[in-house]
Amino acid sequence: MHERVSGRSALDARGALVSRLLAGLGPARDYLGIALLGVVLWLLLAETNAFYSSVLAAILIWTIATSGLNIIAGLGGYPSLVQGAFYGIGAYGSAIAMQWGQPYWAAVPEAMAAAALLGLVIGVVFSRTRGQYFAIGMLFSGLVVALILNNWRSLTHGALGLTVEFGFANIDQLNVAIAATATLALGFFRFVSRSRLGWRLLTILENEDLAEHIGVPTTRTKLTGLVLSAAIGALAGTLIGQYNGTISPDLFDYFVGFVMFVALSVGGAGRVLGPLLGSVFIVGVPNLLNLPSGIGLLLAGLIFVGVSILLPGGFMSAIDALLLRLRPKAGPP
Amino acid sequence: MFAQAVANGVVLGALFALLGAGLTLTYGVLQVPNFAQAGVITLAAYTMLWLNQSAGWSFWLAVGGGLAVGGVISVLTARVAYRFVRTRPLAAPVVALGMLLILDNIALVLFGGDHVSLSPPYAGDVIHLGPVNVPAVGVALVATAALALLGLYVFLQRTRVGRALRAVSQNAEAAAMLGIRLERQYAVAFFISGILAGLAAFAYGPMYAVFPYMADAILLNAFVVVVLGGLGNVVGAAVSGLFLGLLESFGAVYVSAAYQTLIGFAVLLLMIVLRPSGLFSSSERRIA
Repeated sequence: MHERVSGRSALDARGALVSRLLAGLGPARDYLGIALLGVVLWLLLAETNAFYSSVLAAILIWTIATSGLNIIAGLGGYPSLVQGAFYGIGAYGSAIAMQWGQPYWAAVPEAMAAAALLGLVIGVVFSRTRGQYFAIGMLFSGLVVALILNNWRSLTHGALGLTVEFGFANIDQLNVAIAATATLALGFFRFVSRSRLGWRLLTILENEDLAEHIGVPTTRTKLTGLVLSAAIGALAGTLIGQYNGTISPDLFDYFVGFVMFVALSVGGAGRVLGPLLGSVFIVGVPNLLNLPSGIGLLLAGLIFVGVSILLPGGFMSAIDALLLRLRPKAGPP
Repeated sequence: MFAQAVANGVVLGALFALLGAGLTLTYGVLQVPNFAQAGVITLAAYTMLWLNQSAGWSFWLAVGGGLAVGGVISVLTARVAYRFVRTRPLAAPVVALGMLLILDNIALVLFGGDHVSLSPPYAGDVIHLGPVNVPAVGVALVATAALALLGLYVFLQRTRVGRALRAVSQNAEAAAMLGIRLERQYAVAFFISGILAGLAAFAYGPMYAVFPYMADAILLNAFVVVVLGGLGNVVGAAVSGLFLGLLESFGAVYVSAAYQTLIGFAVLLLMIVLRPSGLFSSSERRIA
C-alpha cells in the first residue's frame, strides 16, 4: 500500500493541493461543477450532429423530469410512479395555454402550477399511505391522467394529439434552454438536498414514525416534496412539447412514470447526478443503438431488477466505490 | 338495460375476483404486490394462442399448456427476484413492476404488438337469458372463476399444503419454527397464482384482445379488489371482485364507458379516505 503512494507522491501532492483548494470553496464547489457540466452539455448539444444532439436532448429532458422525481423519491424514499403524468400535464398544459394565445414564457409557469396543484391533490390523498399502497395509488393516478388525455377530446384531441406552437426563435435557443434548465434542475436538487426540506425528507426515508415522533412535520414535508417534484416534472414536459412539435397521450402513458422511477433508481436515487446517469442508460442507450421500443424497455427492466437486487444505491454507488479505490488514502489531517 | 348491466358486471366481477385471489395469495405469503401477475397473464395467453394456432394443438390442450407455462413463469418471478426483496418492503413494489416490464416486453419482442384474439370453439355463441344477451365466453369466464375460487377455498381450508400456506401468511417466522419450509410454500403460492393468471388469460383472451399490455390496467382494478377484500382473504377477494365489477359495469352504462376505470380509482380513493389506517399501513406487522 505504502510504496504505491510514495511512488506517486508528486502527483499526490499536486492532487492534494487541488483538493484543498476545492475544499476551501465549500458548497460552491458543487455548484461550480454543475455549471461546468451544464456548459459541456450545451456545447455537445449545439455542436454534435442532429442525431446525437436529439438523443442528448431527450436525455437532458428526462434528466430534468427525474431530477424533480429525485426530491420525493430519492430524498423522501416514496416511490412516486406518477411523474409521467406531471410530465404530460406540463406538455399539454403549455401547449393548450399557447393555443389560447399565451406566450411561451407565461405558458410554462402556468403548466407548472397546474401540475403542482395536481401533485398537491394526489399528495393530500395518498400521503397517508405507504409502501405498496402508495405505489398502487400513484400508478392508478397516472392511469387516470392518461385516460383523461385520451378521452377529453375537445381539449386534447384524444389519441391524435396536439401540435405545439414553437416558443423560441430557433433550435439553437431551444438547445440553450434545455441545457440551462437541466443544469438548473440539477443545481436545484443539490440545493434542496442540503436544505431543511431535504434533511426532513431524509429523516422520513430513514424512519417515518421516528421522524414524526421527534417533531418533523411529515405530512407537510411529503406534500412540499411532491409538489416540487410535480412542478419540475411539468417543466420537463413543456420542453419535450417544444422539442417534438407534436404531443400525443402515448408519450405520457401511465408506465412512463414508472420508467422514470427506473431511470432514477438505476442512476442513483438521492444523488445529484443520479438522474443524468440513469437517463443516459434508460433513454440514451436505446436511442443511440436504435433499439425497438420492446427491446429497450426489456433491457431497462432487466437492468432495473438487477440493480435493485445487487446494487441498491444505483450506478452512482458503483462509481463511488471505484473512486474510493483509485483515490490515494487520505493522510492524517 | 339494467339486467344487461348486471350481467356484464357479473362477468367483469368474475375476472376481477380471479385476479384478486391470485394477488391476495402471493401478497399473503411474501408481502409483494405482484404486479408481474399481469405479465404472466399476457405470456400465458400468447402461449395458448401459439400452441393452438401455430403448433396445431387442440384448443383445450393449448389452454392446459398455457396454464402450465403461467404457473412456471410465476414461480420463476418469485425465485429470480422476489425472494431478494423480502426484507426490503420499500423495494418490493418497484421490483414487481420491473418484472412486469420484463414479462410484457418479452411478449412484445416474441409475438409483436398487434391485437390478436384467442378463439375457443364456442367463440361466436351467445346465450339469451330473457332480455339479456351474454356471450358464451362470458359464461365460461364466470364458470371458470367460480370453480377456481371454490377449488382454492377448499384447498386452503382442507388440505395440508393449504393449511401450511395459511400459516405462512399469518406468521412466517412461527410457521418456519414449526417446520414448514418457507421456500416451498412460496413456490406453491406463486404456482397457484400463476395458474389463476392462466385461467384469467383463458377467460379474458376471447372477450377482449391479446396484446402485450392486455392485463396492466385490469390488474390495477384487481389491486383495488384486494384492498377492499382485505389482504390474504380469498372470500373477501371474491365478494369485492363482484362488487367492483357490478359498480364499473353500471358506471359504464349510466355514466361513461370511456371512464370506466375511473370508478375503480374512485373506490380506492374512498377506501383511503374512509379507512386510512389498519388496512393501509405497511408498517404494521401481521400478528397471528
